[in-house]
Amino acid sequence: MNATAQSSIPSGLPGVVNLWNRFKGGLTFRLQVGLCVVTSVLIIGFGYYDYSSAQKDWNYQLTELVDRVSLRIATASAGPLWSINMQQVVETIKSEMSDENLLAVEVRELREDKGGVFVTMTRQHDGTVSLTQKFESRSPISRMRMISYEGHDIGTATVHVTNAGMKRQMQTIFRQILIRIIVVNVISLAIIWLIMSRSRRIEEENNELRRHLQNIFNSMPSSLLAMDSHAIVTQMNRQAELMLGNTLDDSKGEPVADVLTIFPQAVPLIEEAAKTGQALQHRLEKTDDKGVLTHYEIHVFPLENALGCVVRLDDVSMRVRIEEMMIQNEKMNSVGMLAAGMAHEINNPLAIIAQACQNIERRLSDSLPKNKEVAELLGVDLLQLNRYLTDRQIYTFLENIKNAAARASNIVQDMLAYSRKSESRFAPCDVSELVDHAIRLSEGHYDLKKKYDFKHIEIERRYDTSVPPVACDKTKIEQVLINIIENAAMALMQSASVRPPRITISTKGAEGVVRIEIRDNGPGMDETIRKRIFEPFFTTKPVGVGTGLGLSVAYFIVKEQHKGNIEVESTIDVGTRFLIELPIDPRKVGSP
Amino acid sequence: MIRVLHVDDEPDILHGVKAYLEDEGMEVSTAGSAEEALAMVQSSEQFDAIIFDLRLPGMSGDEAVLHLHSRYPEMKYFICTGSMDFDATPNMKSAGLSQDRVFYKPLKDMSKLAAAIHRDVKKCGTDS
Repeated sequence: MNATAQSSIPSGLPGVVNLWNRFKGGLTFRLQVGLCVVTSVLIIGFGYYDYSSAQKDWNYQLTELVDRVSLRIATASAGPLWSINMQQVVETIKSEMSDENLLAVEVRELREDKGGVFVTMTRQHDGTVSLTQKFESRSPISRMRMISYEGHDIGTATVHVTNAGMKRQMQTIFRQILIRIIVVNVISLAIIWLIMSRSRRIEEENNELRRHLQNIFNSMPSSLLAMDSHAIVTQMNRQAELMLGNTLDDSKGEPVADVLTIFPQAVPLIEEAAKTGQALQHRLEKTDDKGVLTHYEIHVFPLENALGCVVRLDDVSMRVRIEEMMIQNEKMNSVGMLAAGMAHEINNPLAIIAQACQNIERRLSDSLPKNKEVAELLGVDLLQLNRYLTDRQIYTFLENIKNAAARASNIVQDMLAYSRKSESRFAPCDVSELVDHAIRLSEGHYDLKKKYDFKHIEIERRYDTSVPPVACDKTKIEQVLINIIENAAMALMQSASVRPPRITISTKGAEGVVRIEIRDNGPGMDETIRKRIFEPFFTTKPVGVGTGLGLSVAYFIVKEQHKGNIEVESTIDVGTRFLIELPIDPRKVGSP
Repeated sequence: MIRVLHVDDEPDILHGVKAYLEDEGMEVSTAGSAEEALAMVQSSEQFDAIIFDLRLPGMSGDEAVLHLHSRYPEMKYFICTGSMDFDATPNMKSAGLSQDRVFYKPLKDMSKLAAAIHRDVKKCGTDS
């Protein structure tokens, strides 16, 4: 009990103090103090008027009373005074003093022989009237009249009144004023308090609602911007502040064209939407200083009753990329199927060409006994024939046919890889080892071709050694990496950049996947090339250097065979970045 | 002399391989389909080795291999196919079809096929 009582004090007291402080500082306090003063002054003013008019009234009444009573006493007591009938004078005075306001009556004689007080009657504290020796004058109003008998002034009658009644009434009036002040102020304070607490509650509810709406507004992932019918910005959320790079305080009251400076194309859209009252949607593209392209989607929603517009801006780069990837997937799948089907049909004629070449070569040679036998039978000198064939370049043509068949066969093999599903060759591989091997192979490959000296390219390796082994077809993934590294090397060779050429290869483990990133600091490529880079037979290399199949094969190996992901990002003059994501266990990846 | 049967639905391929293997001193017969090949084997023709294409009209090459191996396990079976994604199944492997008996068209060097036949058939000959 004690504990709860004690604990309630510290928590309650600051609350009260708080409330008081808030109350003291607020409008309510000043209003209430002002109202108290005004009502008090008014009540005092009216009270003073009552008071003074009541006083005047009393004075008049008392004056009139003393006039009247003194006249009557002077008239009635003339005879008895003449005859010195004291008893009768006393009776007269007594009968006149029934009015409680009369305090005392004094009758004096004026005759030379018998001067002085004749009768003095005074009202006692208990209200009774009795004879007294004299009357000490302490009355505010009194009246003295001559008593005349047959033309002779024989005495005076002085009537005194008390102002006790007046004082009592004045006190009553005073009390009433006080009571009125208290009652009126208490009632008005109570009423104001009630009204104020009600309005304060409404205000708090309003504030709460405003905070809630502001919170909702700010929590939106989209940038929101509101404006009035004159296209003057009235609101913007935090996301919009971040995107546009200025604050609400700076933008409020500014024309929308001055706020949406990074999207000048948006202004006519807003005007159109405001004019037609129809919601509008539009895609915008923006390239920043670093050459990174961002896609935005703008929605303009006119408010009801033409009270302005709300603009919603979203960064839809991710969505655009996913859409692009889906289109790419579709395209690649159909192209892949077509290519694989075609390749299959081409294999047989290629086989005939290749076999025929081998047979021709062998059947022309002089080392095969059967050749000699047939030549002898026909009388042909094989040595002479060979000389003839060499002179007429028949062997060169034959060699050309063989080479062409081999080249076609390589293309066909690449094309067939599109449709290959060779999970049976999957085995757990150490990614760092695999990448290292691919680098060694591509270095050798290049040295052999003498197209580019790999020694000038710095190869930076950043391996995450904690990644688990990945189930994959080792040679295929090596082929993917070699294709990409070769492309990077070729790009670096073409680059006239002053930067030392570098290829950075990093591996990194993530949830269920391993990421292999190959980044070069070459010239990069534009958006049109980037979008088509994985298409079969798309190449930027001179005719005969590349078939345009390398990256499309890489695409199918990663996407189709390994259920992984391959992406490319590129920025002109900065470089290109390939990202390969391989599932650690492709069998666990659901087929789409 | 080694007797070989080559089964393919493309006559010019049969012609090319036959010419080469004959130059190698083998006796080569050809068949345009698996059914024709089965008929030839069953009509008591003796072969040391049979080369099958996979995609054939009617019965496929791998089916024919399995079918024949159950009856003629002493014969050596080879595959010469245009499909790049052929991998010998465990069943096929039990029929003696190891990966070194699978060849892909186009045969850029037919001497490898000839050498494989020589190797496998000779080994068998010395064994028995």
